[in-house]
Amino acid sequence: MKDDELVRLISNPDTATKGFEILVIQYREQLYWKIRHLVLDHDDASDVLQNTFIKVWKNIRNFEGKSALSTWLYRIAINESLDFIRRQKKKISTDEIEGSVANRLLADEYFDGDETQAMLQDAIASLPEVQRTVFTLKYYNGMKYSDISKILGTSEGALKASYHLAVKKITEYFKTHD
Amino acid sequence: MNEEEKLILEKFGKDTPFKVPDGFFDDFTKDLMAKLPEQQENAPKKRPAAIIRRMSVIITSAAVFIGVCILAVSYLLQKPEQPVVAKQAKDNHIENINNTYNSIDEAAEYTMLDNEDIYAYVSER
Repeated sequence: MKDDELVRLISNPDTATKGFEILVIQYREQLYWKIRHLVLDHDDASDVLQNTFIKVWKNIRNFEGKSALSTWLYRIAINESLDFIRRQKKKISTDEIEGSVANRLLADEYFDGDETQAMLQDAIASLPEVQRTVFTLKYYNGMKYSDISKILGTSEGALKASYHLAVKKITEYFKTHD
Repeated sequence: MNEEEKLILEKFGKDTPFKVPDGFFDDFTKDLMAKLPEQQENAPKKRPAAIIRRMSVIITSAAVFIGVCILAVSYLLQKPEQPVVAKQAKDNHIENINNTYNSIDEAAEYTMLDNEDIYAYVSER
């Protein structure tokens, strides 16, 4: 279903629930994977995804259609993911988080990678927020800089710089950890 | 794509290493729909009309301009301070010298030295 039809359905109190369910089915996987690549753990991703959709439900009537619906949804999902990561960091010291990402993933039944893959996730998790977000959206989701720019509200030039810095840091990480 | 990016791609590939439990997405949707809160009847956020927005820009610009003019006029109308400051500094210097002489006289009285004794002392150095 097209975005404007969806928004119209959801904005009408008589069809809001049905319209929203269609929206959830249409976007749940796309949003889930963007969230998962940031928060890493499946249960955490599920919680953040739920928070994302609840926020969408509460605010869809304020959606003015100035951006694509998908851009708006991705923006909420990314913000919820980053909020989650910040809250998590406050609970646990930085050393504990960065040192244990690889170990936690290797023990996670929903992680299908080997030790090298786990270390890659460790390297990504150690990046500053913006670099981490840009890297995962570009590398794993294959998004264009123009689309990422609309989601994050950052210029394409700045995003390219962030991505290249992220790549450099990941390479350096493996040079020191090999 | 630069060399570093090629290396990462060759080493790790682009496939995600994460898995999802079977049936997760369908179960997720059912759970979510059951938990949806009542949609609040919030009035959509009203943006100020274009004309009001334009007016606020004009008023702000005017206020800044007036403020800059006031500062400029105040600066230009200020009398130069240098002669007053220089005179004050000179007066302070004279007062300090006088105070120094007074201190020496006091010291001389206290030690019961006269000028002859002081000159003799200084000339021996």
